[in-house]
Amino acid sequence: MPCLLILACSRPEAPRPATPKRIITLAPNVTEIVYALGSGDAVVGTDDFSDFPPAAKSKPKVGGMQPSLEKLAALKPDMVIATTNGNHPSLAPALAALHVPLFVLKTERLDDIPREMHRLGTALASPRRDAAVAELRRAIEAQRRTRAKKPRVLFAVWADPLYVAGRKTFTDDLLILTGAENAVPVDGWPQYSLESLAANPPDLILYPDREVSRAQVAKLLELVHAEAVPVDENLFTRPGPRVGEAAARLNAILDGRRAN
Amino acid sequence: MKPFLILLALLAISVAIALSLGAAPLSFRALINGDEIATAIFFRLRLPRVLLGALVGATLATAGVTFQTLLRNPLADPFILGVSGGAAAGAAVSTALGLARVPGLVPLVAFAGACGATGVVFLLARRREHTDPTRLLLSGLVLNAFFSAVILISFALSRQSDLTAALRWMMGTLFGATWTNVVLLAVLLVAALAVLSWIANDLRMLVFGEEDARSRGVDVERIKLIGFLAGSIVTGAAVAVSGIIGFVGLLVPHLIRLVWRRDFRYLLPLSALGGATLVVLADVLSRALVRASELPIGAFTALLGVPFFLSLLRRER
Repeated sequence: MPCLLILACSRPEAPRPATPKRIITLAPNVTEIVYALGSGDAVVGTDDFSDFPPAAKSKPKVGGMQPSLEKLAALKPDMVIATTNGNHPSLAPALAALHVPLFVLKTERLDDIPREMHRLGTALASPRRDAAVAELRRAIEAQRRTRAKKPRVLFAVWADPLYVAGRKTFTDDLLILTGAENAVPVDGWPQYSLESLAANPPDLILYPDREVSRAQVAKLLELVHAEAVPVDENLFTRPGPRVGEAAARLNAILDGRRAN
Repeated sequence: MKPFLILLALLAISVAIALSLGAAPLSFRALINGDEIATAIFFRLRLPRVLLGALVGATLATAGVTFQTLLRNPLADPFILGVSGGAAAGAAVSTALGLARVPGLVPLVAFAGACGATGVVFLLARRREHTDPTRLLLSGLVLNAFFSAVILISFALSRQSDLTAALRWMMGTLFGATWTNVVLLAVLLVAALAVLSWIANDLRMLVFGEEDARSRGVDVERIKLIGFLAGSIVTGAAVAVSGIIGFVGLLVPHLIRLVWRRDFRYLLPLSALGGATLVVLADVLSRALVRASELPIGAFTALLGVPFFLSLLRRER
C-alpha cells in the first residue's frame, strides 16, 4: 500500500522517457518499420505474425488479432505500436488503463509508408530516421515504370469466394508504380464476382501461394486467358519498408511477360 | 391446379429476371452471335448459378415442409433441428485445420456434419420405441448451441485469411456455382421428392397425431426414419454447395399454408416451387445491388420473406 502511494505521488514528476526502450509492435509491417529505423533492439515483444526480419521471430509473442493484455503488460513496455486497421477496438482504452502509451500508424497506402516511418522515427528518436526514409523513397522511385501497353493485373487475396485487391489500396499503388493497371474496377478489398472477372479479363493474375492453391487458380483460369504467377503474400500485402522489393519483384514479372 | 400454375409462372419470371441481371452487362445479341466473353458469362457463370439457386431453395423448402409435418411442429426446419449447424461446424473445423484450400474437401465435411447432426438429434430424441417431437426439437436446439461453440472456437483458432473461407459457410453464397453441383443437387432433390411423394399419404396422416396414424395402419417409425433421412441428406447437400441460407425452410411452407393448402401432398411440390423462387430472387438482389461485388444471400431471403410473411399473418387474424 505505501508503495502504491509513493508510485501515485511520484507519477506526475516522473519524466516521460525521451527514447522508448521497451517497444511492443502489434503488426508485422510495424515490426519491419521499427527494425528499418534501427530500433529493433528496443523491441521486447511482437504480435504472432511478425516474422521479418528473422531477428523478430525470436521476440516474445503477445497474440494475434486480439493480443493478450496480460502478456503485454508483463513485458513492461514503454510504447506499444499498432496500425489503424487490424487492431482490436478495446486495445486503446485497455492500454490507457495500464498507462502504456499507444502509437498508431496509418499505413494503408504506398505514400503513407515513408511519411509514417518519419513520424515514428521522430517518436523513437531514431538516429537512422532520415537515412531510412530517404532509402525507402529511393527504393520506391527506382521501381517507377511507364509501359506502352499497361498490363491488366488482378491480385487475388482469396479464391473461394474470390477476394481481390481493388482500387485505392496499397497493392493497387504498387501496380500503378510499376506501370501496370488494376483489372478490378472497384475500390477496397471486395468480394469480387466471377462475372466481373470474366467481363474485365486480366492479363496477369497474382496470387499468394500460401493462401490460394494452384487448383483454385486453375478454376479462375477456366474463365479467363491469363498468366498466373504465385507471389510472397507478406511482400505484397504488408505496407512496410520492403515495398521497394515487392515492386522490383512485380517489375521482374511484368518485364518477363513482355519478353515472352 | 391453379396454385401450381401461379407458382410456376412466378418461378419462370424470377429465373428470367435472374438471367438478365448480373455484375457484367450482357447483351443477348452478343450471346446469340457467340461472343466469347458473353457466352462464358452466361453459360459458365450465370445459368448454373441461377439453376443452383432454384435447386437450393427447392431443397431447403422441401426439407422444411417434411420436418414440420413429421414433427407436427410449425417451428421445425433444418436450421432449428441442427442439421445446418452440423454442416457449418464441419466446415468451420476443417477450415481451422487449414484444409480450406483443398478443393472439394470442405463441402464433403459439411455434408458429413449435416448427416451426423441428424443422426445425433434422432438418437437423442428416441425414447424406447418412439420418437418424441418435443424432445427432437429440444435436442436440435441444444445441439445448435454446441455447434455454435465449436464454430466460435474454430474461428478463434483460424488464421485471419482463412476466416474468409469459414465465413463463406456462415453467410451463405451461390458464388462459384458449377454444373457439377447443379447436376448433383438436382439428382438428390428429384430422388428425395420421389421418396417423399411415395410416403406422402402416410405423412399426411401424421397431421392427426401419431396414435391416430398408427390406428389407420401407418408404420409411423418407419415413415419418420425415411422422412428424416431424405430431408437431412438433401439439406446436407444444399448446405455443402451454398453454405447456410436461412429462413427458406421455415418461411416458404408457412407461406404456402397461409395462402393455399395444408395437405402434405400439395404442400410438398408447392413449397419446392416457392423455395426455388425465393432463393432465385434473393440471389438477384445479392448480385445486383453492389457493383462488381456480392452481398450475403441469407440476408435477402429473410428481407424478402419476412415482411411478406408478417403481412399474411396479419391478414389471417
